[in-house]
Amino acid sequence: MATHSPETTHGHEGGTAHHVTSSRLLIMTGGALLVLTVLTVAASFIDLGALNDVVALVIAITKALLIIFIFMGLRWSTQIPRLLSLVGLFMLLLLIIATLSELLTRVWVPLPGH
Amino acid sequence: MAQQVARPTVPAVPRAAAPIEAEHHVEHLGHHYESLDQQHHANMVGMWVFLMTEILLFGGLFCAYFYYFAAYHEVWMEATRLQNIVAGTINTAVLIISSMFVALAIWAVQTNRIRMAQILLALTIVCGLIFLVIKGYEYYSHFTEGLVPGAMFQWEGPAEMKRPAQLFFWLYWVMTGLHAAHMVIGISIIGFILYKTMKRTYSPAYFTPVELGGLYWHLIDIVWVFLFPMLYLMGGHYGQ
Repeated sequence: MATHSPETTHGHEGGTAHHVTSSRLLIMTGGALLVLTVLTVAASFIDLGALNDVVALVIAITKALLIIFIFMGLRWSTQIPRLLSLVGLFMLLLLIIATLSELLTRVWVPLPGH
Repeated sequence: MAQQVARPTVPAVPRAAAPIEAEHHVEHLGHHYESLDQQHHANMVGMWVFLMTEILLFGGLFCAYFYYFAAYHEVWMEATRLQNIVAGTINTAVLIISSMFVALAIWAVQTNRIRMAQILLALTIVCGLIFLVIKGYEYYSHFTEGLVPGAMFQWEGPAEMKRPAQLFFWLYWVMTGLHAAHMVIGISIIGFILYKTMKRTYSPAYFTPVELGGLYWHLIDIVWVFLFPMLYLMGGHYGQ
C-alpha cells in the first residue's frame, strides 16, 4: 500500500505497511466535533428563519466529513473505498432528490391536512 | 472437455509437493490470501461495501423524513419542540467522544500500546452504554407522555396537527430505534475486539478487525450526527 507521509508510515515484515493517524490529530478532531455540536445547538436558538435548517444540515455534513476523512481514514485510504463512498453518496442523493421531486410537482391532489 | 479433465491434475502435483506448513507461517492470514496486506485491503473494501448498504438502509428513512419535513413544516415545528434537547445534546457528545476513543484504540494497537488500547475500547463500551441509558430515559418519557403514534397518541398542540404529528414521532421511534439496534450490535463488536485485545491477538503487524469494528462504530456515529439535528433541532425554530 502506498502511503505518502513518511513520518506516519510503519512497515512490517510480512505484515502491512499502513498509515497510522497520530493521536494528536484524533484528539483535535474529537475536539472540533464537540465544538461543532455546541455551535449547532447554539445556532438553533437564534432566529434565522429557513436558514436555521440549512445551518443545522451544513454543520452535520461538516461533522460527517471530519469523521469519514479522519476517524475512518478515508483521507489516507486507497482508491476503492473512496470510490465506494462516492457511489453511496450519489445513490443517497438520488433517492432523496427523486422522491422530493414528487412533492414539488404535486398539484393533482393535496396531502391530507393541506 | 479435454481441458477440463486435464486441469485438476496439474495443480495437484505442486500443491502436494509444496510444504503446506509454509502457508500458515504468517499468523492470521486466510488461506485464500497471498499476504496480510492483500487480506487487509480485501477486508477494508468489503467493509466499505457493507457500510454503503447501511447508508441506503438509513437512507430510506432519511428520505421519508425529508419528504414529510417539507410537506408538514409547521407540524414539525410543534412536534420538534416536545423533544428533550439537553438529552439529545449530551448523547451527541457521548457518541463523538466514543468515536474518538475507538479511533485512538486503533492508533494504540498500531503503535503497540496494547494496555492503552484495552482501556480505550472499554471506555468506548462505557460511552455506548451511557448513550443507551439516556436514550432509554427519553423513550420512557415519550412513552409516559403518550407520544407514541397510534390510537393512544396524546397531542396537546393544534387539533388539526394531531394526525401529521404522528408522522414525526413515527419517524423518531423508527430512526432512533434502528440506530439503537446498531448501537447494541456495535457494543457487542467492540466487546469482542476488547476480548481479543485482552488475549493479545492484535499487534502492530495485525489489527484489521480493530479497524473494521472502528469503521462500523464511526458509521453509527455519523448516522446520529444527522439524526440529532433532524429530530431535535431542525424545524424547532427555538429562536422564534
